[in-house]
Amino acid sequence: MSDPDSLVYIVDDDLSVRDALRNLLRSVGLEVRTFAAAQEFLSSPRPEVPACLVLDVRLPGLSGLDLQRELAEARSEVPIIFITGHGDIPMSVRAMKAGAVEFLTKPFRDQDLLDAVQQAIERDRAARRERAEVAELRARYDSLTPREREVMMLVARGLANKQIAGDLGISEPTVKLHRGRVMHKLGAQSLADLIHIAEKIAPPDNDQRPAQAP
Amino acid sequence: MSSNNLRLSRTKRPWPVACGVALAATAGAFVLRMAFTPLIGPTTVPFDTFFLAVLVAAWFGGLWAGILSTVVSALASVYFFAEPGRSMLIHNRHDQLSLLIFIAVGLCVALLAHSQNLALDRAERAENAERVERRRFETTLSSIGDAVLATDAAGCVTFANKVALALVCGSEADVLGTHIEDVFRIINEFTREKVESPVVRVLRQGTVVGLANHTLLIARDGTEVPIDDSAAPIRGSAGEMVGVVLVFRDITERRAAEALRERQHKLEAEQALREKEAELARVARASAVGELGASIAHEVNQPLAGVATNADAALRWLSREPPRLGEATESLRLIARDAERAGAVVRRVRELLRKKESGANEPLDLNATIQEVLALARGHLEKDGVAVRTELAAGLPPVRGDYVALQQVIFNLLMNSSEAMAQVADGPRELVVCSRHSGPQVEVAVRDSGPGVDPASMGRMFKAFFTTKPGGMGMGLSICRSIIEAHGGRIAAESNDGPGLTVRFHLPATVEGTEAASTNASS
Ligand SMILES: Nc1ncnc2c1ncn2[C@@H]1O[C@H](COP(=O)(O)OP(=O)(O)OP(=O)(O)O)[C@@H](O)[C@H]1O
Ligand SMILES: [Mg+2]
Repeated sequence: MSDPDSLVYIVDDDLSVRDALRNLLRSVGLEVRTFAAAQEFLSSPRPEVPACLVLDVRLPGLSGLDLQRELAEARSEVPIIFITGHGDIPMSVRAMKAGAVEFLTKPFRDQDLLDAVQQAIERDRAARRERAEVAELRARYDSLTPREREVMMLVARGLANKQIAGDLGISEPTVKLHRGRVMHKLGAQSLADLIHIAEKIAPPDNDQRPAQAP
Repeated sequence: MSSNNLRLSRTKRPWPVACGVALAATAGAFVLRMAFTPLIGPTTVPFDTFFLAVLVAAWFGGLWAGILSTVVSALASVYFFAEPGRSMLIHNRHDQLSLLIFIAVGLCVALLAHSQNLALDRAERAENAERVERRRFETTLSSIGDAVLATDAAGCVTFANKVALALVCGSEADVLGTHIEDVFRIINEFTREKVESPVVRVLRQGTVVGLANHTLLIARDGTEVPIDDSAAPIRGSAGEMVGVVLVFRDITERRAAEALRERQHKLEAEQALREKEAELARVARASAVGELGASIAHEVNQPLAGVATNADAALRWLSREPPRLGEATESLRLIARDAERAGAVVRRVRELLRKKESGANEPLDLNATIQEVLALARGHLEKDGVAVRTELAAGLPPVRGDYVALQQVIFNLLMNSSEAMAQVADGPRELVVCSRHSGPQVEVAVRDSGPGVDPASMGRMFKAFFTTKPGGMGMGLSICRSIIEAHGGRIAAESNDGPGLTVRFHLPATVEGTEAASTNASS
């Protein structure tokens, strides 16, 4: 079976709810995988496609909120739509704080769920694209020589060639040479591009790497 | 007072009286001497009878009368009765000496009589003063509201005022001179043991004694009066104890007031407690019902949500181009399955309730059940000021059923009536619980004199969640109905002819019970 375009995971212990949600999501053309328990979901392989998770808050064993935490710890950033029979505000606040996309209280309007699912998938698609881009840039960055990296960082900080030459104790033409090679290897068209790339591959306050899909 | 004014002081006689007395006494002595003259001759023993004059004058006329009498007597006896007679000369040495002695003795007698009179006067004044004092004391004690008894140092009653006599139920004759222990008998209110008279304690300790609380005075006729008292020593002028005064008062009224206050406090406390209990019961019931409700709701909600969502999905499958009939059919199958599941949940709950309600299937006497529930509900009914009457048929056949559930039915009906009647400001608050044997059934009716129900509500009051009470759940009658129906009976409400409502239920009597009842009735 080839990977679908996108995927919706449903984790709910109630058979009626599970089947009904699968039926609904399939009727708008979405691919659906259903699970009766959080553990089941965690142990199943997930293809690298834009996806979202429709998650019942109350689950036997590992609860919805527990699953959310586990996923966060594993840096598995699938957007989560919580559904609950008894929506209580503190719980929803907790879930939203932990990065849930949506918190729907049963009975919800089917269209609301569909909209939330579409949004979540789009969001995941964008995030994936972003992560792929960063990964690509990182790979290119990794191909730079140490000197080229030094030059790149100084350029990105806005220093002129002359200053860089002074700082590194090399000649200005050598700086120009390295700079040209950096631009080429990273695929940057302009100085602005280069600065942008430098920011992406080395976020100033965290060095979070893209999630590694299993 | 008046007698005191009239009585003249012996030492302060007015002088004309003193002179008169002196002269009269002297004249008397003179006459007496003259009377002796035929026997003894005119000029012998000139002075002796005049001693009497001096004595009488001094006694009755005082010091100065005595002196005057001495002087006049001396002159008269010298002139008339001493040798040579009718002359102020005295020839006889014997007479001269006698004169001197007479004068000396006369003066001495006058002085003696005077001092005697002084002493008598003083004594009389003191006595008067004491009498006045005593009268004032008695007047005061008679007029005060407290009872007063006084005793001598031996503990015998010497004085009792009117209040004291009234309290001990005796006359002055009964009481005076009697020992205090026989007049003033007191016991402890709780232990009913004799309490030592405070008088006796004062006599022993010599100090003021207050009475212990909770003392009852037992009057001579046996009546008991709660009293409050204290006793104090009466001291003589040398500080010695000459008696005891006992002051006591009837505290029945104060007691009553205190008891009333105490009762009020107790009532308030009880009321608060009951309110708390009622609140607790309500909360407990509400949360039990609420919890059950929530879990049933959840159980039913899931498949119902499934039905709705599958229906929505089916529409979507059908509106696809081309319509996806297979998936639509599958959706309908899911709908059917979920609907069946919801139905199953409801069935299961029903079965559960039915099983629970008819779980205990013992033959039971509804009369006894009614009595027990009435005992349970007494607090509530009293709080609402409801008067309860029962008209329970004798020889009621037993019914089969769940004892606890039927108790609950009766309790709910009592509560509803009580709560309804609590709203009526005036008019009686009467609750009548009747039981009756009618045909194959036992009938129980709870009739109240409350505001009743308007016809519109009559049909709805047995429905769940129908309530007109701010704190009500509207579950009471609905639970009653499901219990009664689970027992194969029926329940209904009807308006009384007068004010109020009657709720009546019928339950099938056990066959054996019915037979026994009818044989009893025919025999
Ligand atoms: N004896 C009565 N006299 C007048 N109205 C009554 C009487 N009994 C019941 N009602 C009416 O019927 C309503 C429903 O009674 P029900 O016992 O079902 O619920 P409730 O008493 O309101 O609440 P709860 O669940 O606490 O018992 C009451 O709110 C009241 O209006
Ligand atoms: Mg009620």
